[in-house]
Amino acid sequence: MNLSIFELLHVLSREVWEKRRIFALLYVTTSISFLVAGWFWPKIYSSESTILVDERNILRPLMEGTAVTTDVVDRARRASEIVFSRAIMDKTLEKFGWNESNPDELEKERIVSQIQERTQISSLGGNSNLIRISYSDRDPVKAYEVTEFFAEQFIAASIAAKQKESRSAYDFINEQVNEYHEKLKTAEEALKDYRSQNLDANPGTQGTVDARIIELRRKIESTELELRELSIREDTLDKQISGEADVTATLSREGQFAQRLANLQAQLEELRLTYHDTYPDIVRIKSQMAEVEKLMAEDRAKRAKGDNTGNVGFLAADNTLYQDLRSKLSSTKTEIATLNARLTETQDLLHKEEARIIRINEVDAKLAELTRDYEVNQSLYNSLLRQRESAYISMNIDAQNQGVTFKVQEPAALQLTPKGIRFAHFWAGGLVMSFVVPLGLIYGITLVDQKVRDANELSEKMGLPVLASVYHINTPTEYNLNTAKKSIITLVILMSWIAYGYAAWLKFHGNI
Amino acid sequence: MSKLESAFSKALEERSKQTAIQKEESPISEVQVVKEKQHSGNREVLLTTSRKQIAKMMQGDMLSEEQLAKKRLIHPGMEDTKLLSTYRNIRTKLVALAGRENFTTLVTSVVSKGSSSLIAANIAAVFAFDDGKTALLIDANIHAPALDTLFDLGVEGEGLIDYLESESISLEQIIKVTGIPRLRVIPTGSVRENSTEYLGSEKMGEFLSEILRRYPDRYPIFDAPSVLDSADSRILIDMCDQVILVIPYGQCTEAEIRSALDVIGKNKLAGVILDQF
Repeated sequence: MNLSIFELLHVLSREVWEKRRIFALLYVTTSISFLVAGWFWPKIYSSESTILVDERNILRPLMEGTAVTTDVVDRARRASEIVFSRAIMDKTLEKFGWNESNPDELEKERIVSQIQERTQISSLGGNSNLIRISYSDRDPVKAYEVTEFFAEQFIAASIAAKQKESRSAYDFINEQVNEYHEKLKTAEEALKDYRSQNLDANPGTQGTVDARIIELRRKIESTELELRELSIREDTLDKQISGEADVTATLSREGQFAQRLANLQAQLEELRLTYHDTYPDIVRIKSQMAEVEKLMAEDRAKRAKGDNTGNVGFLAADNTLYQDLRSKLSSTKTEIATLNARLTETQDLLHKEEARIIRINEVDAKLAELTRDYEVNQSLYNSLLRQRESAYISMNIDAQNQGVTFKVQEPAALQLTPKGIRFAHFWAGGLVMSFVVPLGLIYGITLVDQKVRDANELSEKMGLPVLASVYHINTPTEYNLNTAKKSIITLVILMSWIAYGYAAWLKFHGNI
Repeated sequence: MSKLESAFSKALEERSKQTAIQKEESPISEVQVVKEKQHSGNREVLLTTSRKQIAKMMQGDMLSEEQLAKKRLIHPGMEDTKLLSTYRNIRTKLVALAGRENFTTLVTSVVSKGSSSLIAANIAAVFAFDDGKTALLIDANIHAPALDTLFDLGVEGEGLIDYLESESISLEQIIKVTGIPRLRVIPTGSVRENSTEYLGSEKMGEFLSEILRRYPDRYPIFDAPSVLDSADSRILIDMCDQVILVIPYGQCTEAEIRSALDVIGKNKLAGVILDQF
């Protein structure tokens, strides 16, 4: 059904009339139920106390960064844990007479559960510094006393817990300081032992070795360069020595041949003075001269070609340049031998230094590890020393109640007005609900049974050709009967209201 | 009411369209025209005779206004003119829908609960308001008759079933006076389990012809059982010219209404009457 408010009211009134007996029955039942419930509903008195957890005391800004004032996070939960602790619950049972009947453990647990249900501990405005403790009881005096007791116990327990907490923190940090002191000492010993065992493990050693290696490499390069120069010089001297001997030999033979030729020429000239050219001696001399000239020409040709083989040595000793070259060559060879020896020695030194630098790197790595351990321990140790000082001051602050302070902002008060649902609520609720319940039920039935009650639904939704809408004609008898029925219903409602009025008068003026 | 009237006028339009279509589909021959003229001449004679007969009808003891009020029956002098006007509108619409006089109307309900018999009686009563017309209310609700109680006819006496069952019972014997001028009623008579056979018999057809022939100004109105509960209604729907479906307030679901409409069919449905909405 999709009805307007007026159509709904029309349908509802029709249904109420059709189901008037159900309506009346439900009305009476509901109104009586509410009235009876309100009449016998126990009065609950609730007393509450508000505690201010003050963390912003005078010491905090002064000790900022030094002391640590212990924080109270989720105060309501912690307050509940403190108040509902076994010790405080036992004290409560004892103090307020719940133990007088000597209850067994099960009964005690039940009583404790009831106390916990009646106790509300909450933070005002979320996580503010105000904690509210309230306790509800049928006895207003008991509600007041228990609330006050809980507030006192909470403050005392909180302070004790804080002192214990800060003491524990100090003890813990002190223990840590001692532990790290031992660690630091061990690290120092290890570092010292290693350095004494590895002399190379001194600061700057690696730099020295590196510089030496560079120097040695430079020397090697210089020596190798000199060697290459001397080698070239040696080769050049060798070539020069070979070239000088050949030339000398060639020139000596030619001179000999020229001298012999001159001698033969002189003999020939002398013989020609005496003899004809056919003279055998003259012929022989001429033949010899031709032979010598031939040899001279061959030598000249050989010298022109550069071929200096042949008999060299026999006249080289007479060449001073050759002797000089030979001397220089010998000196060069000596220098080469000297430089080779120096190069070998320098390379050996370089290999030694390189081996040393590898060893130094290994030592440095180990040394860095030991140093790092030492530095970490030292840093932590220094930090812990500072923290221990802070903890010590914090412990003193808490010991003197100068840290987080607890003040009773609003003390518990004796409440004379009951709290929660009471007779007036039931009374007003009964008047309303005695109509709402039957009306709601009847409306629910009309929704559930799916019967058609809306003329518009037929004409518009289903598109039926509606001839007319006729209504029920009451006969005079029916009219009278209906009037009587309406009167009875009105009377029932009026009686209910009278009962409500009388009950209210009794409650508020009859001292009941 | 404006929504109801618009729905009704829509139905009227559809009905007139269907009638026009039927007329177009069946061309009238000259012989038929002559017959029609002869028939209309006879009809005028019949109407004159009928009205004289109506004027001479034995009315019996008339019900007082007080008695009518007790029976929730409408009468021209009633104080509730709104309801009276409503029923008169129903009459006007039915005549307009039929397009002729002397048509049969069946009043049935979606479910057996409700007051469709009273509505049928009041529709018959409003037809009988006219001095020149008469209404015949036929109680076809064989298994739960209501009209004999309404008109104090008593349990004894012949009725529709007796007439259909017996050849010796004449039509005059089963037509009863009601205490309302020009309104006659035929009670159910004897109760038979096999009422469907009686209502579907040839004699039932003869019965309808007879009541229509005897008084051209007569409006037979059948009070039938619920269309969903009884097969009798389905037979009677076929016999009658138009059907009124009564929907009682808060007694039937939309699905039941749709089922009832399916049974009746669009051609026969004159409209619905909302009962106590």
